[in-house]
Amino acid sequence: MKEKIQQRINQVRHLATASVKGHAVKSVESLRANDSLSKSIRNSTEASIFLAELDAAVKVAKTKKD
Amino acid sequence: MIKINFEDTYDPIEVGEDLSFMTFHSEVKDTADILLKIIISPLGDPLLPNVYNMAFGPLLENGDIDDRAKINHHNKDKIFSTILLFSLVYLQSNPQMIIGIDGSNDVRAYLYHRMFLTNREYLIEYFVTIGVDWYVKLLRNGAVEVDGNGLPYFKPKPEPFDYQRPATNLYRYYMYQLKQ
Repeated sequence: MKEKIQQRINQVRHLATASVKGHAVKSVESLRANDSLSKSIRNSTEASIFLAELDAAVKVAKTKKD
Repeated sequence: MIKINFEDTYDPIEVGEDLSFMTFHSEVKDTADILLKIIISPLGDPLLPNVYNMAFGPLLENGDIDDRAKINHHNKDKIFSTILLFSLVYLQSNPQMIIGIDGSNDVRAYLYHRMFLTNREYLIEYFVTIGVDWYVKLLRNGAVEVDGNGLPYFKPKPEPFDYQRPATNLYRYYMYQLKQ
């Protein structure tokens, strides 16, 4: 990684260690209710199938050349 | 066209201890700089525990963000470079997580699609990008699978982001993960 990019990353990390505690979450309920992926997965069986397909897609994407 | 460059990003003002948020000032055309906040938070769906949502926008009075605000940013390249750099930092600390972007809003989906497409060579070094379409099964009798209400039974189907696919053919949902 380029040195300047690493410097930018370090700048963010440094502020995180010296910064605000807590978690700035938008309403999780509203996120879930408005997310189309969440709405389209109705049960644990569908979730298992989707996550397995996602895992396979990630593996292919990592090796894909074009 | 948005050009991502992690060497040209806005300085962070405040960063959450757990990297769940960051604020920075953005230059706006014809008016004063505006404080923007990026939030990365769990989707909150117990069926998708590792999917996180990323949102950004100006702060509202209640401390939340307005992620639908229309702002005439002076430098969109720098805005999105800042946002993606922050998500890179987040994913480096949480490599099992994947960030999801809902493409149900056409403007937003088009923006992200174009961004992944035109910055492919740059972003491929850092992220694995996935597109998700919704499909409905065609049954052997020629009908489509339906749900309990008689409506088409759509299911999400992820695939590696197809860089040959034009921005006129958007995915319904975008996801990206740290490249390891």
